[in-house]
Amino acid sequence: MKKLTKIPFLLSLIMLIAVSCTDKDEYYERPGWLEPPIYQVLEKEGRFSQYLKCVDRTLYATSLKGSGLYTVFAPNDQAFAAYLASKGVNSVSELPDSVVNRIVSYSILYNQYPYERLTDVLSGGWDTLSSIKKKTTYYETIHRDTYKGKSIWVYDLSNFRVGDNNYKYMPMYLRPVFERSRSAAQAAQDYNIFYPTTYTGENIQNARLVKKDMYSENGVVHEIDMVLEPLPNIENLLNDPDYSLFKAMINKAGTTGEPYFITYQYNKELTKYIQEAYPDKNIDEVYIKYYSGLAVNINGERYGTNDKQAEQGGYTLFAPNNAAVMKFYNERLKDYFPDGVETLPMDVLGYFINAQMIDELVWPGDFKGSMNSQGEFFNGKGNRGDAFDINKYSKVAPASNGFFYGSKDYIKSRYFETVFTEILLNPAYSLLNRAFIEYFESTLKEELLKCELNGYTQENYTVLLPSDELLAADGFSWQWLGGSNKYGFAHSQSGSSLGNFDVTTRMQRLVRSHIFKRLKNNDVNCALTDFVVDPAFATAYGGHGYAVNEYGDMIRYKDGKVQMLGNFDENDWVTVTPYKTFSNGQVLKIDKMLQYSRRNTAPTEVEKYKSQDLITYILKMTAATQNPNVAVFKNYLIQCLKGDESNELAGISADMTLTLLMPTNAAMNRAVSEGYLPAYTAVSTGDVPARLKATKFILHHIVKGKVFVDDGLNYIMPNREVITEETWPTLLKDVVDDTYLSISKDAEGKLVVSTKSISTGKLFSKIHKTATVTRGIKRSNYFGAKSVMHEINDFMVYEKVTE
Amino acid sequence: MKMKQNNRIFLLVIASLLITFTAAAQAKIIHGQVTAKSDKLPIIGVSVAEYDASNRILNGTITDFDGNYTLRISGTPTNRVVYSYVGYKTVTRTAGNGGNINIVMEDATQTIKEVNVTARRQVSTGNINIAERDLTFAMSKIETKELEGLQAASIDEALQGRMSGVDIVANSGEPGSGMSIRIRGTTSINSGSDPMIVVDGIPFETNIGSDFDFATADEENYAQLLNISPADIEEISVLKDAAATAMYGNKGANGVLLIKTKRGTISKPRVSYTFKGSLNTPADPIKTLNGDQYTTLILEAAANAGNPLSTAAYPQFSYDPNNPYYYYNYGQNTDWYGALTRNGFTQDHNISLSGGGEKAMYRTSIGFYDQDGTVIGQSYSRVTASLNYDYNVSDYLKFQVSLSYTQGTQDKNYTTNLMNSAYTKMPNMSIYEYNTLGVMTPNYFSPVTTPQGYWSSTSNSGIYNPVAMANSGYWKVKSERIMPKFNLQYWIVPEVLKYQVDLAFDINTSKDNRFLPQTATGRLWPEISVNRATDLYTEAFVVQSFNRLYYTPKMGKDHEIVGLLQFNTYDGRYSSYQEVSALSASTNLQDPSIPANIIGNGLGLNSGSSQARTLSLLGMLQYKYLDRYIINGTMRRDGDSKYGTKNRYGYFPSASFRWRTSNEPFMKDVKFIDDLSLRASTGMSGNPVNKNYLYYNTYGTYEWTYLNDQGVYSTGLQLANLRWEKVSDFNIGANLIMFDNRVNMDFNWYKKRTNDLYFPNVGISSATGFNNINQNVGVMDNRGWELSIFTTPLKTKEWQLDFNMTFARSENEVMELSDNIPLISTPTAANNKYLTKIQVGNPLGSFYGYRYEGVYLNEEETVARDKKGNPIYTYNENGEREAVNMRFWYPSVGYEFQAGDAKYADINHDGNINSQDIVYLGDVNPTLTGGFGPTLRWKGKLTVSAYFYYRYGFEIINQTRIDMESMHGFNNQSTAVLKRWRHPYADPSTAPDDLLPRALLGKGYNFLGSDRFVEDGSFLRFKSLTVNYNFNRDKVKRFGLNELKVWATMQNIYIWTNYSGMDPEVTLRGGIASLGYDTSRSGRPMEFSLGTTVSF
Repeated sequence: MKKLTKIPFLLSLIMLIAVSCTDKDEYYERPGWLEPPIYQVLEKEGRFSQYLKCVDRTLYATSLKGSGLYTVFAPNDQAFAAYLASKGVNSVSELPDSVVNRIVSYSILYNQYPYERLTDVLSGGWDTLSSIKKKTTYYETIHRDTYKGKSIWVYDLSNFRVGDNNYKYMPMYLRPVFERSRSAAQAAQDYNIFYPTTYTGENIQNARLVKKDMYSENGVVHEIDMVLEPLPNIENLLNDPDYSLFKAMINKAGTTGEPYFITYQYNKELTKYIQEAYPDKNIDEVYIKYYSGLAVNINGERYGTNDKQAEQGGYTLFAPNNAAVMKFYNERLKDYFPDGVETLPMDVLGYFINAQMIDELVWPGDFKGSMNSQGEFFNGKGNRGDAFDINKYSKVAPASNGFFYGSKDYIKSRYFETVFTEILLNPAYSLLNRAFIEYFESTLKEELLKCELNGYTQENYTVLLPSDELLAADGFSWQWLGGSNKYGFAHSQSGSSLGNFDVTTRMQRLVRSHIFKRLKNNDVNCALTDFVVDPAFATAYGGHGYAVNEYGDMIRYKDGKVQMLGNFDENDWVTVTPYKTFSNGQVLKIDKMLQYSRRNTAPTEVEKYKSQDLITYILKMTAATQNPNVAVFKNYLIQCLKGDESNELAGISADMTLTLLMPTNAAMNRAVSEGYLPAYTAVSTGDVPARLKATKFILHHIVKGKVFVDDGLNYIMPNREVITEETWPTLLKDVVDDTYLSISKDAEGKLVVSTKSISTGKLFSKIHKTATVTRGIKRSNYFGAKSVMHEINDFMVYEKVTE
Repeated sequence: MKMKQNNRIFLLVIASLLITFTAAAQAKIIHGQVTAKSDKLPIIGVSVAEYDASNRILNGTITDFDGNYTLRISGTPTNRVVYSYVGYKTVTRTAGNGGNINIVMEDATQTIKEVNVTARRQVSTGNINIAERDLTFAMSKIETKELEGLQAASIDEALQGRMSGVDIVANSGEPGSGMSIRIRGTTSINSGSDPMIVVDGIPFETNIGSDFDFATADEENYAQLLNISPADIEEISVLKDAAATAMYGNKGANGVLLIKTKRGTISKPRVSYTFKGSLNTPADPIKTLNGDQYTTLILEAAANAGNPLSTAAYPQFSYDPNNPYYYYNYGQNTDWYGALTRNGFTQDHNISLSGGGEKAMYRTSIGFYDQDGTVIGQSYSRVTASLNYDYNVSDYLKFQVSLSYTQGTQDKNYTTNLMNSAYTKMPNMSIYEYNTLGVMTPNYFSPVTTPQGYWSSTSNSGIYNPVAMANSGYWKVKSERIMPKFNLQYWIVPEVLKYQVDLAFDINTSKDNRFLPQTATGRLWPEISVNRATDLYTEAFVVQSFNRLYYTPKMGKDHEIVGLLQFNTYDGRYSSYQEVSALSASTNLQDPSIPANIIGNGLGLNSGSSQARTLSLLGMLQYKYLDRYIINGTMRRDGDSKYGTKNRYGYFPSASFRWRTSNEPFMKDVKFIDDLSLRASTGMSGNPVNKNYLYYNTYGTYEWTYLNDQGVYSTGLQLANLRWEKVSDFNIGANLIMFDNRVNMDFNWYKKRTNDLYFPNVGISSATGFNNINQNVGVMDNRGWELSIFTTPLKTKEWQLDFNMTFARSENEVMELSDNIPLISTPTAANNKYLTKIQVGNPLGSFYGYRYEGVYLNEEETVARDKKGNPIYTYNENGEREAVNMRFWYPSVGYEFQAGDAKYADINHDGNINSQDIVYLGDVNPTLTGGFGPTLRWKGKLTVSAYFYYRYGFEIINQTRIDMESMHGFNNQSTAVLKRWRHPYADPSTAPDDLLPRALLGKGYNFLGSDRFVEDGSFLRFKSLTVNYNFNRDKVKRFGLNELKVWATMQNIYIWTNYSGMDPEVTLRGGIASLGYDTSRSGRPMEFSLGTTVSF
């Protein structure tokens, strides 16, 4: 029995042996040529025993032994020897776990980048030569912080999502990218400002690449000669007593205890996640923390808004040390905020802080042309200014998310250096400031902020400051507007029996009337500093000076007193007092406001808020007592344009800005005799063709769109640059096309009008005529409604140029 | 209800038969005592019976305690009185006029000295017994003795490769998957090609699966041969040509498998016990990446595609130790296959009792089969009971009753693709969930969604935790089947005309319970995949009847006629009821009748039913002259309820001829030839469509109402002209038996033509309101030959060596096809697509694709080149000449090939890989199939037999490799992808030879249908080795046994093949589109079984 049962058993054994390996198995075997995983590659290389010892102490060992896809910057044993020596320990086993974890996780980068690809960004394909750093597996989790006086746990993130951590990026200084926009020497210089090690063009942080591209199954390894530790970020670097004032500014909280520039946000999901991960820490709440309202999220490691940008840039902070902050306060703010640096409001802090930073990397070599987040040159002057000078800095350090320049001085901001600064910071002009915010945020306000800091070198502004008091006296107030459901300007007289006017229009016109845009540079200087007339010009108009304000209205001044149309009508003068000078101009205090209407003499009339009709001023000027030299022109004008009853002039409306050029009586007679103008009798008796011809003649003498004053300057103001000639349309139309006159200044600064452009030589009329204004207080620069009237010594004539 | 009714019918039939026994005559008495010759003692219990001339028992009794008996006899003096007792020689006396007759009985055993039995083998062709040597048609046969010891739950597996012309292929290597059988190839494009199975003369309804859907199922779904214990099988034959299938008509058009079960024989009661036990070890699966390698692959694939996976979007791949939840749950190296598989043990017990006397013979058996699948959650257990009872009422009247009952319980997994999931599931995922501290919990890790996807409640499929699915999901199928059969034979004219009636019932019910637990899918309340439960009940009831008249007139020595007239009916009814619910309150509430949600996609109640009937009339006549010329003719008329009245009936004639050349006088001198015959046959049979009710115009109602009325619309065209698929067959064959039966050869050549080829979903103009209909569309030919050789090269007193071989070749060709059939699948610019063509004059199953030329090793190689090898240029914006890269389907796709991409042959050298570069790649039809194997016997005690099986000369599309090497998605891949391109090779000579294209997540064209995945599938398999030992009868007698056999067998021992896939045995199932695709992901498991048979 026994023997027999053995037989099938034995046979089956033989069968089993017959079954062996087939080709199929071979096909599925690991190919012999395939490199081993990273860990084994390093083991085989033999120079990384210390590094591997560290790896073994972490959970990353499993990954490096075969999983994932990584790039590893592995420090060799020499690097470790130096590192250990610097730490004063004998072996890696003496290093604490936390340090080992930091070193290892920081040495591992997500994704595989052979040397050639280190400088490329992989995002929807390779974006070549644009990567300057790579994401490591290292990030910091929660830490303690204080919020509303309470110690809390925070997570440096702007938005929590599992797996989306504040990963540190490893900066690389590789020739293909680093030397693309700068010379090798410059590259070395820039590099050495941050790192003491030699620049080779193949630097990873402060280490050098020794051996590149050791391929492995799960990634690639590059050997480096230094143990790298994660860099602190800008927020960490700011944690320095030398910069405590600046830090306090950033951390400043409002009355509610809510910081101005930091958002702490309780996150339920995150809290749960952290509670579960650290049950022993007894955590009740976790907040996410990020900087808001600042140009740079200084605790954020990831640059930009996506993974692609994250590898392409970084932040720069020029942190003023405590002395520099005090200097700024004393120089710029003490007048306005005498109670100390702690009392600065949020917007002022914001302007100052943002001026010190930019969400870009500013290399020392590029310092000259670099601007801050507000578009201001760090050096105040751009390329004309100073280059980077290390001596001006007390602490320069590379941050994980950018550069930290600890500075002995502060970066100037136009918010504190321009004429607008006074409006912005002086509480006496808060209504004016509101008007700017309300109406001119991106226009006139931006202009007043133009200065050398943001690249404007010749702009010069004169601002007459209507104080809150003056504006209130006019009737303005800042209040809740029920109808519009927002805060805005109101006026005590608007909607009253005194007539309807638009508050906005009036406020805008008044504000603009007080601003004078002029030029000042090495060649030209027409800055209106004190409204005292240049003696060389004083005789021409009886001691009066003239200028055109930002709105386009003419003013005249004499001995520190100024007058606009409304003031002129009432023969009233505004006294100006020079107050402060800024880099782009000056501000002056006023005792009254410039007016375009009779505010004082007709208090109960609608006209109080309106300028008078143009005809009123024409008649006033041409009155026998004033200027009879242009009476003929006036007669023709009335005959041709004015109706019998009303004061309106045909073709002229109240919103037009005009320059009336009135030929002298002699010139008018010449025109008649030369046949360019019908005889006055023909016009007055109702000869239609004659009247039509005369009308055309008159209209051709009125330039529309701008007030040109004869101010004695050799060029036309206001303008953004030196202009000596301008071509403007007249009221005359050739069917539908405008006809033009050329307005220019002659060598003496006298206003010249011509039918031919001097600069281009282009004829606007077949007949070339040129005339100059006749100076004299009653003859030219005469006030009109949105207009100016000049006497000229010849007539203009229009005859179509046909080519 | 139905069951009861059926039983009643059954009882009624039996009762009516019993009544026929009562025949009246004048009574007389006969009495006496029976004693034994050896010891002179009376024998108790001797059967005493009066027989009439036709051997009918008229009266009977048994002897009492003293051996006395009294028998009332009929009074016919010529009647015989027979005394019989087991172990004694039967004594017969004439009855005479009664009186005292004392009998002395002799011991039976002492009389037998030597018995020489000479008989010709008779073969069951099903309906009629004809000597095998007289067969005029193609047939092959196997007796289970030859299979003994093969461990198989069903016989199809055991038959594989043992009969020429029968192509049996496993559908896949997965445990428990079915097999498909083709007799002489695929005859139909889409209609079912599975053969018919006939058990003991009655067509056997193949199993109705529990997932059976009456609306859509076809014969393919019936594929699994079921539930007959191999131990009960005596003989299996296969009818191959039309002449043979003519016997069984339409359903036999794909060939007929005849199974004959064991019945009782005249003997003492014999108890026999058979045991088979086997150990099934899980097959070698395709090697897949571990979690670490997988993560590397995915990250690399994403990076190659240009978008590295962000740690925020995919924390699953960040391996961040600071995030223990993800680190541990997604940082594993899980062997999903290992976690899902186990060693399975199979036990099969069978006890049978058989015996009988001249009058009555019986065989009853009880079997128990229990198999633990190699996959967790899969098992099958079955109890079978059967009774075969034969009673000879007289020489001219007898009846047979067969009863069989089977109860099976099958445990399956909720999803059928569980193993697929194991191969492709992210291996870095944990089976059990780790908590946020990295401590493993007992909960399954089933996140709501994974990078691979999620479980879709709409389609009720998707990504899940396979271990959770295997352990807590289930699909239990309980089936019960009762098959009573009744047979009555009566010689109307003794020895000349016989009437036979068969009535067979088949009652088959099954109950399916399925449950999908939330823990497996991780989906959230209230999705309808949460705790989804199904209860399905299906029932099939089939009644078949056969009325037959046999005519065997005595025509003298030279003539022999066999005639048959048969009328048979078939009626099959099916019905099913199902409820599906979801969102039960707890995972423990698993019955859909518990209040839960039943509103939603796939939920709710539904039922279905169908009925089909066939009728057929058959006439057959066989004539033999001089034992040399045999001619056989058949004519059938078939009717099938599946067709409209116009085409419901069809005539199918056949004729066959056999010329026994060896009996011709001129061959008399050739002594070594025992028999040489030439055969020819031709015939036609009809293959019915596989769906009911196609000739009706069916209607459906819309699910919404308008003005409270529901709209009705037509759901199917009335296919009044649908015709039978007609298979005409021409067969020429030869039989040669030589050297005293030591060489036995059988050769057949055939040509089979299928007319009116049936094709579902033929496109038609949508102006009809339908896009497609089912149609008879074409003509297809199958040609081939088969040769089987059985030899006995060695035969001594102690040793005998048999060696058998089979060879077969089958080709098919499409001859005609309707214009409405799209002949070519449109080539598309997509991966994983081969072009298939149905081309008149070509076989089915050819495929076309690109030619793969390896990998672009570096950027330079991707430059497009013309015929001479010069770069192809274009002009850029600045008018400069610029070399272009190879493109794919420019301009519509225009993908530029890059280093690491798969390189395809640019056949027309235009620098653009597109449809014009598609070439012929191969064909699924094998040149040759067959098997061979030796059997060595020693002293009738030890038998060692081996069997080899082969298929030669065919191509396979290795779909497994496509799926497991595409590196295109988040599915796990095979370890072959370790050979992928990872970085450029500036010097091509340094590149490895076996490099695969790079991984490319969701991009690229690295797995186009190309010859990269087309492989020669030829193989030779060492299928089985069996050792059987028969203990010496004398020795076992000492233990009170009659017979003792032990055997051991191994299956799937070794395979020789160049095929790189798991297994080159590829399923033949499915439509044209799936022909030749190998999707198996594990090899065929080796099985080892031990068994014993004991008889008492």
